Amino acid sequence: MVRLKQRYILFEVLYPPTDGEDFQTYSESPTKALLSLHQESPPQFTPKTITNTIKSSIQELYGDYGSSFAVQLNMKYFNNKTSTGILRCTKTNFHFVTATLPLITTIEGRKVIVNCIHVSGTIKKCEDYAIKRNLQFMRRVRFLEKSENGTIITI
Amino acid sequence: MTCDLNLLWPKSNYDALTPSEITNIKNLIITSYNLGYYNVVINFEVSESLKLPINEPSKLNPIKIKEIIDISKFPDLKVFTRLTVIVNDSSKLINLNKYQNYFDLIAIKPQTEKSLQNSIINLNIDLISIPLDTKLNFYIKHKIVGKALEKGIKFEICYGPLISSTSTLTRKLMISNIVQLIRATRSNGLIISSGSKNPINLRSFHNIMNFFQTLGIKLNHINKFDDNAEKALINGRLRINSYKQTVMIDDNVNLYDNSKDEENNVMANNYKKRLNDEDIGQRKKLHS
Repeated sequence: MVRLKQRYILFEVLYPPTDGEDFQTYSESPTKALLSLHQESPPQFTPKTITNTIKSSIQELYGDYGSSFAVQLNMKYFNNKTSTGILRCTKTNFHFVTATLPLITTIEGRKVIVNCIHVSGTIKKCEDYAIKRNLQFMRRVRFLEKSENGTIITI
Repeated sequence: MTCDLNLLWPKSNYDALTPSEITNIKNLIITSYNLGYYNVVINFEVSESLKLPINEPSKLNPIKIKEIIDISKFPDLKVFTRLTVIVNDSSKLINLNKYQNYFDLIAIKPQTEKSLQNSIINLNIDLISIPLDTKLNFYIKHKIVGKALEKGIKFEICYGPLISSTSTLTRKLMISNIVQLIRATRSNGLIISSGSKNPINLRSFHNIMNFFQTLGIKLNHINKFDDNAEKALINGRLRINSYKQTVMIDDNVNLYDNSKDEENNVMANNYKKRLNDEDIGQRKKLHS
């Protein structure tokens, strides 16, 4: 017997500057821009609300036929601090999900960019990649901070 | 190295910007930089009826990069400028060659089939962006498009209206037009760019390619999109720095460095003006 195969999609939610304080201070320095893009998510962003918006946008793009593939769509993990999450869907139809992720503009009334980072066959590899990416991100922030202060950088 | 060849300038004439518009365009550049686009082009889009100030060359380009953003803060970021002319009747556009030294890229937006055909044959341009978010009143033919690809002109797909539009009609039209363009070009010589005024509508390159794979672009064609954008940018820069885009004399010229263009233009302009005057004199003699 062949077992049922899945695909795990690692994604992140970004917050571009719209209005208020962010709009003015965003362009002052590269670290401020990076940190305000990768903000913490508000508490109303739960796995349930995000899967509902993804399902409704699949319904909008592909209709009843397409959304029949998204019935098994399931959010395995979402962290509000780092605003990254992992989605699970069946192997044959994961293209429908990855194609609709860039077309989402609002979640719960907040304007966002949903960025698909990685697709893999096991959830372990997704977790590993998320940790690796976070380390890279921290290294970049430190690099930019040092270059702003004017110290000489040697890597 | 990924390029975004179309970030829209907020105005389509020579009026000065308000402070909020300047911060908005700053935010636009930095967001696209953080999404992985290191070479960013600001697009100044005009209709053909707007009179460009030919007599005052310093005022031709309204986009002053040094006044907008301090590039040295952001490692590897480079900002360029581009002129797009919306064309209905291509016979009015004979003077387009005069603007070439003041913009890094030159593109046209044809509205009719005849203007598309004529501008491919007559004009010296880098990019063609067909208005994909409206209903086209002509059918894109492989024969016409093939001529442009032979000359090295690239075709642009703007994904901005696809994301920002609220009505389903523009989405339908865009998808059908994009599929038509992919069929006509056989997925050669295509470029993907944002074409939006708002940082909310920007997406990273691979995310957009995920969507375009469902429209019939194959996996092994994806790297071509990136290469084509770079080729178009090099083509445009070579027009300023070299003789007929083939010969360069100075070794030390950095093609991507556009900070010294203004000084060099003054020298080149005087020479060209003299050449033009002599040409006109000879023609007058021939006719009389």
